[in-house]
Amino acid sequence: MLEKLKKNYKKSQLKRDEFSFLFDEDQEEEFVSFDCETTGLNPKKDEILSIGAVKIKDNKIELNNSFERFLKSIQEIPEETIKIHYIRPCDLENTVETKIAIEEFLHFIGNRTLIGYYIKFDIAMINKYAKALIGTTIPNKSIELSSMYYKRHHKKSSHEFVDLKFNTIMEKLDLPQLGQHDAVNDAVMSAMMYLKLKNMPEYKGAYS
Amino acid sequence: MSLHSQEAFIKEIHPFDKLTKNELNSVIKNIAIAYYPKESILISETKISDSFFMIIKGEVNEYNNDELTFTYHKQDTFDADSLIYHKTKSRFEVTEDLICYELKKEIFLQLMKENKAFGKFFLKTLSERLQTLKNKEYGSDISSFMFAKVSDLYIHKPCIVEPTTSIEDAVRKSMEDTTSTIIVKNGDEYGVVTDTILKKELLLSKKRLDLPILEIAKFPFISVKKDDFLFSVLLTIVKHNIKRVGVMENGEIIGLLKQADILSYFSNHSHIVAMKIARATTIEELMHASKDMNKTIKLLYSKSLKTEYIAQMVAELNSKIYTKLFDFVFPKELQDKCALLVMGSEGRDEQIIKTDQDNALIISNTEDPATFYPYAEIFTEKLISFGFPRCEGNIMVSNPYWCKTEKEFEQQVEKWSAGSNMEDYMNLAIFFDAKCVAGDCSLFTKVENKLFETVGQRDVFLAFFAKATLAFKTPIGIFSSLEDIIDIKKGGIFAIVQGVRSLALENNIQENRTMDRIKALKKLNVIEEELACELVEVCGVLSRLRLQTHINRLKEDKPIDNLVDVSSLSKIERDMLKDSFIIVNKFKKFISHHFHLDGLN
Repeated sequence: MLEKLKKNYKKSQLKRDEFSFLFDEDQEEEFVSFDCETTGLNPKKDEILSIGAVKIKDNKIELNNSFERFLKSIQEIPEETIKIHYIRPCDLENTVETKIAIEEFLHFIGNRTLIGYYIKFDIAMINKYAKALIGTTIPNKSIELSSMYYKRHHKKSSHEFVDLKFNTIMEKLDLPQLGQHDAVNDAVMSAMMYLKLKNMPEYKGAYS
Repeated sequence: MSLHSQEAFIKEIHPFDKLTKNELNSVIKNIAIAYYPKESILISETKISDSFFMIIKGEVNEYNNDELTFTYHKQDTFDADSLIYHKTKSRFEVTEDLICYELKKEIFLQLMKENKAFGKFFLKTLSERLQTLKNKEYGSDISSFMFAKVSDLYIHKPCIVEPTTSIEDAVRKSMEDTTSTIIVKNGDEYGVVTDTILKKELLLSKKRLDLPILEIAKFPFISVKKDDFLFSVLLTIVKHNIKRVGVMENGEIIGLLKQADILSYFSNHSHIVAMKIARATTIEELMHASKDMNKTIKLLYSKSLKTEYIAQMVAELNSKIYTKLFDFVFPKELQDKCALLVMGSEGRDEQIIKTDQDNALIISNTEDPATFYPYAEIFTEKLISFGFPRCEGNIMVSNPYWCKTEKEFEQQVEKWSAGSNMEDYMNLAIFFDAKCVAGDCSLFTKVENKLFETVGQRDVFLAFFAKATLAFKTPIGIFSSLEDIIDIKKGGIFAIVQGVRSLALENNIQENRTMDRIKALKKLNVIEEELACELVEVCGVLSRLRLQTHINRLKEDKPIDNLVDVSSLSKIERDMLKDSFIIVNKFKKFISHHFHLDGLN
């Protein structure tokens, strides 16, 4: 009920009608796994460097339906982030205007449920731009992979620390690493995580 | 698009490495990654998939009528057949959680059409599979029986007498010729006198012994031609209800064939060579028997007999040849004053096609080795004429270094084990694999005991000895990709043989065969059961591939080497080879750790 209210409120805020598809009834079969590479971890200050996303339909990750954009950055790219993403300033020469990239991304995701690892952050990054562009934050449902994993992890005690690092989860789920961490690869790996987790039962043991 | 890692992964999969950049691009643009939990059925008779599968991770089994036919792993692809023919009799089931690429059928078929090298790969595996099915249907045994000829069998020497010969003289001659069949030549006609006829005519009818043999001979003696097919001979024997037939060449009987020979042709080809060896009364005859060996090996190989058994059989036959030649060459009075050893791969019973000879003679301390030299020379010379190639390292009885007294050998062992160069290690290694095949074998036992006594205590020597295990690089890349041309001996067999040999030496294991040594090491808990089983499997795979390579070289009339062209192998063979090398590397690590080789320079 509350969800619906929120959604309606967001819809009322929408300034551009051509984006009303975001508010259509949820698509049940299709999902979008996505990841943003950013200049830092503060949505207020930091900027998106690139967005990678891929569609999931019927247990399949549609690589032919993937999305990748490098965004024009206003800020300098800090050296530490270069080491993580391997996005050098020169890689951003083929970039698109942030405004266009975000619009294209909204068209790509449509009304699909979003999947990601610590997805709140990525959605917050998108929302920062969306708010300015269309007047509202995006209404899409989302699935958080780390909590999906947590629910399926067999805990030996109620105090057990569950390692939720991305690479740990990949390893524990016995999933193949796809080379370097760029936005599309991370989106594809997140999608694999999702497919595998979806097929696993939740842990109903004493410490769940 | 930055789907570089996808592209890199796909390019690693044979034959996708044959695609052009554009073709590869169209693959990338038309694939999906899919996940299937264990037990999912991907393809079946009723569910033909419209995708081509490429495994990123996981395992899939293919069943044909519930019989497991293939197992697919990382980087394997399937199933071209069902995409080409829109039907299948196989069922593809996920046996370990699967992550795979799915390429759209239309794109796959288009690539097959446009890129010849790519298409050929799938068509080739297709025909290979058809061949396997065909063999299953007709049975390769039957077909080789169908094509076997009389001349492929051992033809017994005939005992031919004149019609006027007395019965008594004829029987005497047949006993000298060690046969129970007397053939009577009357003009152009042949008749026969068998044991049954003799019993009937002599014991029951009480015919006199001085009568001419013609009186009791039965005409005609049924004969076949030397180039007749065996199955037609069998029909003749059944039709006439007889136990033997004559073998004709140019109108003359040159020998005879027994029913039992034909019937046992399949149960045991090797007995024919064995019989030839046993019957040989001259060096010449022994040479013919020895030269037939490769033919026998080819037959046994074509019947898919386990390589291990072929090796054992060949070793058995070879040691009979050694024994017999020893008997022919060395004077009787010297025979029990020495022990003949075969060493190295022959000592381990692991040489199938002859590539080398390593042998030695241990002489009793009471004798002068020089007395033995001339015979040793002849022995080596004859062996070479028998098709045992000359040893490159001159490890042969004709070399006085390998022909000396028991005491000298004991001193030699001492020197080797104190040694510091590769030659000493390898000499000791070869000697450690020795087995005694003729003469007084107790001479060898004494030297062997001395060897264990001396070496077992010397940790440092053992470590340097074991280090040879790591002498050659295993020919496999980081992504389990194989090199194009692989030396199967250096790349795999040597490491296992030397590693196992080192462990056997360390643990006083007297077995000679690598397989037996592995089993003994497992019993002593020196190596874990899992590794032991893996090593046994790998030995099987690698020795089969080596035999296959050797037989191909023989067919091409080229010198024998151990080089395998990976592109000529079938998918299953490549997979087995990959897995084998992974285990070879695992074993090398184990040896490194066991003998603390990291600290060694």
